[in-house]
This record gives sequence, structure tokens and C-alpha cells, in this order.
Amino acid sequence: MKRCGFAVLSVCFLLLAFAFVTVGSALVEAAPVGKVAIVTNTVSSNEEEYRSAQVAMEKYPDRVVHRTWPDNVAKEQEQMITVLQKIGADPSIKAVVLNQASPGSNAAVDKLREIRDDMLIIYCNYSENAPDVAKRADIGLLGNSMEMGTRIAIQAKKLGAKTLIHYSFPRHLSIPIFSVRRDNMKKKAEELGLTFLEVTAPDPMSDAGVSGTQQFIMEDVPKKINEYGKDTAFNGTNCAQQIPMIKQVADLGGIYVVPCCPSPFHGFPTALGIDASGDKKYDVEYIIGATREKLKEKGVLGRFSNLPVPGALLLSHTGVEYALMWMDGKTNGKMDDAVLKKLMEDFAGVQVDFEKLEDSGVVYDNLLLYIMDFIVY
Amino acid sequence: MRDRKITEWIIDNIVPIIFVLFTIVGFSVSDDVPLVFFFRELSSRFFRNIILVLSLVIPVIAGLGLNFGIVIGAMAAQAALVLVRFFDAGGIPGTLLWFALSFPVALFLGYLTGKLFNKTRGQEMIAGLIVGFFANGVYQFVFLYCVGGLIKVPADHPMVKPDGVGLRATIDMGKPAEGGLQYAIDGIAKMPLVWALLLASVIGLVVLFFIYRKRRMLNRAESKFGYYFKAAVLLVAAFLLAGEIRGKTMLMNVEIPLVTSVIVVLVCIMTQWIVETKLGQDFNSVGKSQYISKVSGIDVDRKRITAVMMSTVLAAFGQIIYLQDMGTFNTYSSHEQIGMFSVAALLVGGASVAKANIGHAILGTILFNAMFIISPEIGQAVFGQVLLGEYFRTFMVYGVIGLALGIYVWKTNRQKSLLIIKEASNSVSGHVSGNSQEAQN
Repeated sequence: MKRCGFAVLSVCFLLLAFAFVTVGSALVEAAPVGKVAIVTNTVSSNEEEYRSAQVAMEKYPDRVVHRTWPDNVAKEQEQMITVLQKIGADPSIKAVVLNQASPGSNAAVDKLREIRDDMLIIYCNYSENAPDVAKRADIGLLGNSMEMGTRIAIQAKKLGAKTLIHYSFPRHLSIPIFSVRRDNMKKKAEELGLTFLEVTAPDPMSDAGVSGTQQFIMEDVPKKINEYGKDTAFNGTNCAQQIPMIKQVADLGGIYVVPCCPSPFHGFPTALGIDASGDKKYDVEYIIGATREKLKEKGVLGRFSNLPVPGALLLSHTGVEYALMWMDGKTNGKMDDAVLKKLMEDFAGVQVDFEKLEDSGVVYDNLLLYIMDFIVY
Repeated sequence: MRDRKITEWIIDNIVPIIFVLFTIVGFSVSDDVPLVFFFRELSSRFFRNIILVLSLVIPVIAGLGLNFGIVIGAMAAQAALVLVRFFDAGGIPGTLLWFALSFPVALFLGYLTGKLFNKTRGQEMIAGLIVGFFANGVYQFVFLYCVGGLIKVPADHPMVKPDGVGLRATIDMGKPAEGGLQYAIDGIAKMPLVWALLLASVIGLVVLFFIYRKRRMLNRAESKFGYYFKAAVLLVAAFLLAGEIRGKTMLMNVEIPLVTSVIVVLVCIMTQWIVETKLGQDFNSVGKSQYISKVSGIDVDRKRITAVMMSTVLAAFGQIIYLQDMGTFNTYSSHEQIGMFSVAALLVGGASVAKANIGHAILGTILFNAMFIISPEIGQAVFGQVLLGEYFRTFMVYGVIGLALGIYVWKTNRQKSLLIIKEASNSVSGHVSGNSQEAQN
């Protein structure tokens, strides 16, 4: 028994010593130039943000690092903290771009700031309260969802809709950007004489999961078209809803205004069976053309619209380019409106309208809202 | 005989062994995982979650299995937080108010949950899971509609949605400098992690020695291998920690919250003390056999309700510790995975549906959170892709519950089959000796 105990002690010592020697207490050596880390969602609900980070990495292989949020961000907020802590532990990373800055980002950034108060932090498509985001983010970039609500109703009318259906669920509608968007949409729809209908869909972060959400949309869209007719426009707040929604609306001859995260790549390739792989995966012109052809085959040309530029790509590109310029001393401080606007418009190639976010009467200088005109397929 | 005891010990502790090996292998295959990052993350996750995991121990002893209903305790704490933040209370007075408001709510909800478990005898775990979902629905109804819809609140309050109905999805708990609730307990005092671990190792060695000596004096026949192993780990840890202190390495910068540590120690002592009182003996008895307990005069239903109430209140306090460290309160999702992850952590520590103690909770919290930290790195190193790394982590985290439950069922069936073989061999040998006795007669 004494020999056994000695053997056990020796094995333990060797194992632990091996583990600690392998790792050591050394920090990662700093790279000669700064890097930017881009943190995106996984591809479970929408793959555009992930692909946008891959584009950035291909363009700047030595200066861009890509990490993902946990797959179920709503339930794994502690893991969000771990992701940013790992980034903060690398002194060569000087900036972080969060796309999307999902709920939980504020807590994660608070912890990051405790160990790295020198970093530039850019939030893209954030959904937490504006006053709280303004305290944490150096820059916040967000599609103007509130104005989009009004424009969706106007666009639906232009596309010939008589009824406008809005799919969402409590967790999303507790977020002001979605609830105000819904309120503006409803108000404008009623002004224009549209029948506005709110439908509660399952939350993909609940026990129903993404598959439950998709099943609901697949089943509910035909019911609504049967009930209200083909001149029914559909929209929803969540990424998981878009693929089944686009598919059913296209097959049944309804109207579709814009995806929740406006982009030619969001939902359309998968729903319509368009091959967007290989060299096509970032080709906006190709995707818009291919989408038009598919919709024409289904006889619904002129009943679908979208924004002309992928939102996630636009924001990732702007965030990464701006962070690199900031690190290289080419911006006027951490928040340089002029540089940001130029980067966005150069990438978009169309006019982009900007404004500063206002919440409860307070205007936040570091939170920028953008919006563009629709294209009709 | 000696080999069989070692084999038995390994089988009994197979899940924690797998996770220790997983962590060690993770460090070996991953690139650039700084120790400072690992220990900082592990210590902060440990103190955020340990009380939630400890709240599961008493229901296991009382035979209720793994109490997925601790989500309800978490919701009780959150409901109290809403009140505290609505009136902008913060700092230590705000935190004490938070505890004071959570207590009766958690007690009442724990009572109702206990009543439900008595009506679903034998299916308490699934009942706890489902009642958690139900409670979530009620919670959303209250805070998404009743607040503002039925109970009028000012629409310009920072917690309330702009349309005046329902609370916002995220609520800032207020920074310490602004007199908020963030770090209200954690921020009171801190000490370097390395010193705390060294102290814990030394205390652990002393406690282990006294337990070993006590068990030897009581002539308890059990494997000494476990004691040697634990002593070895503590000795090596103490040796390495002393080296870190002497070398004044970067690890010295990692600090732990002192007051939270003291609360954790007090909860551990209180849990152990309850187990050793008459109440704890009653829990144990009810957990082993409800029929025998009833026949012995124990009010089984009442004891079960008491166990659930204790668990729910402890879960509420655990959620307070969790949220004050997070600093931002996700109104509708902060409580959602509390049950699943706490149960998983307890199972990883070597507990089962029928057996759990403080050691399982502590070890499990450490190993489970270590896995959370290291598995994305393993995935990325092995698959070379950040996306697959995340999916690998998700697979490991949720797979552990299935693994631990599967091993529990396997061990239970194995013990039953060994018992059947033993009884069969006893009856055969009894028959043979009976025959030979007859022959002799």
C-alpha cells in the first residue's frame, strides 16, 4: 500500500508538472503591429456575420482574429465573458468588433475593460439599451430599425399588400429597437389602410429551438395566405424565421418586404436554392441577379424587396477597417464620424442615410444609425 | 483485492477523472492559453456558480433527485432585484434589501414546488424541469405585461420599455462608483487567488488527515487509495503555489472576492451541519426509503417540502451572488440555464441522482467551468476552425449530462446484477450444504 501511495503521488506530480510546464505563466508575445478581433455569431441562425469575419480575415490574415459567441447566446452569457477575456489576454489585440453585439455584450465588455481599458470597442447591431451601450462601446453601429418599421409599411403598400403580418416573440419585443419598430410599423400601416396583424412565433432560444421556430413559420404562412389572400406581406424580427418565410411566400405568391437583418444574402440563397458557394459567396450583384431569376420562375417578380447591401458585411467591413485605421493613427480619436460615414458609403456604393441615436430625449454621439432605400426584385 | 478496490474507486469517480484528463489534454493541444486567463476565468466562474450548485445537494439527499426547479429560486431573486432597482437602491443596503425580499418569495415558491413534487413522486426531476418552463411563462407574463399593463409604472423609467408596458430586456445594475449593485458583495474585499489556494490546500490536508484518522479509528473498511490521491493532489498544488508566490509571477495578479468566499464557506458548513442534524438524518432516511421513514414516524411529505424550500432559497441567494458579479441583468434569460448547468456541474463532480455532497459540488463546479474555458481552444486546435470549436464545446457541455446519467444507470444495473449473482451463489451454496447436511444425516 505504501508503494501504491508513492506511485500515485509520483504520477500526480508528473501529470501536473507536465500540464503546467506545457503552459507556463508567460504571456503571449506582442506582435509588432496591432490586431483587431471580430466576434460574430455562429451560423446556426444567420451565417452572414460569420462569413463577413471570414472575408476580413482573408483580406488581413495577419491583423484580424475571428472568434464566435456561444451558439446559444441568450443562455450562455458567462461564455460570452470568457470569449472576450481570452481576447483581452492577448496584448497584440488592440480593438474588438462585435457583430452582432448580442444581449450579454455589456457584461462581457465590462469584464474586458477591467483588464484592458486601452481597447477600441465597436458594437454592430446591438440590442441592449442605448444608454447602457453608450457607456461601454466606443462606437455603436446599428441599422435604423425604428425608421425601418415605418418604411416596411410604406414598402408593403407599394408592393401591393392589403395585409401586413409581423412575427415576433416576447424576448425580442422586450428590446426597444424591435418594439419601437413594431409600433412605428403598426402606426404607418393603419395610416395607409393596411390590416396589421401581430403573430407570436416561438423563440428559437427557448425549448422550441430553431427547428420549432422554422416549423411554425412553414405552417403559419400558408394559413395566413389562405385567410387573407395573396396580397399579404410578411416580415419577422428573427433570423431563424426568414428562410422558411421566404420559401413559403415565394411558393404561395405572397409579398415579402425585407429580412430582419437586411441583406441580399440573408435567407434568399437557402430558401430559393441558389448556389452561393465558392467565388459567388460574397458577390452581391450575382446574388441579386440569381434571386430575380428564381422569383421570376415562381411568378412573384415585383413582390419581393430588400436592401441592396448586406448589412453584416457592411458593418464588419466598416468596423474592421476603422479599427485598423485607428490603430495606425489615421482617425481623429476613437469616434470619427467622417471616417465612419466614408467607409460605409464607399463599401455600399449607394446613398446611406445616417443619424445619431436618440433615446428618451437624449442624443448619443457615439451611436450611429444607418438606413438605405429598398431594391425591388 | 487491492486492485479491485482501485478499480471500484475509478469506476465510482469515472466522470470527474474524465474531466480532469480532458482539462490536462486541453492544455497540451491548445495554443497560447495563458494560465492567468485560465485561472482568472475559472475563479470568477467558480464564485458566481458554486452556491447555485450547492443548492442541489439537499434535495439529492432527501431523495428528490436533481432539482431542476432551482430556476424558480433564481426567478425569485430576479423579481426581488426588479423591485430593488426600480427604487434605485444599491450598494450594501440595496444588496441586503435584495436578500431580504428574495427570501420570502423563494420560500413560498419553494413550498409550492415541494407540494408539486409530492404529487409527482418518482418523477421529481422531470416535474422540476417542466415547472421551470411554466414558471418562466408566468414570469414573462408578470414582467412583460402586468408591470405597466396592470401595475402602472412611469414609461420614462430606465427599466421600463418606451411604450410603458413591460420591462426592458436588459437592465443595468449600476456601477459600484454610482452606488449600484454590481460587485456589491465581490467588491468589498479581495485577496490574491494564489494565497487563497495555498491556504485552502493546507487546510484541506489538515482536514483530510483528521477525516482519515477518524475513519481509521472507527475501523471503516474503505479504499485508502482515495485519501492518498487527494493528499497527493493537495501536496503538489501547495508546492506549485508556493513557487508562484516566491517567483511573484503574473498569477499573483488574479484576485478572488473575500466576502463571497466567506459566504461560500459558510454555506458549505451550514449544508454539512444540516446533514448532521436530526433534520438531515430525516432527509437521509426519506431519501433511502420513504416507506420505512413513514413507518418510523417521519412526516415524509413535510420533509420533502422542507428540502425543496431550502434548495429554492439557497438558489435565490446563489442567483444574487451570480447577478451582482455579472453587473447586467438579462431580464428574461438570466435564469434560463441555471438549472441545467448547475445539475451538470454537480454530476461532473461525481454526484449521482441518489448521492451528492459538498465535495461533489465544489469539484464539479471547478471541472465543469474548466471545460467551458478550455473546450473552445481544443476544438479550434483539433479542427482548425473557430466555428467547429464552438460546436465541439456545445457538444461536450450538453453531452456531459447524458454521460453522467448513463454511467449512473450502468453502475446501478451493474450493482443489481452483482447482487443477483451473489444471491444466486448464496442460494446454490446453501442448497449444496443443505444437501450435504442431509447426506451426512
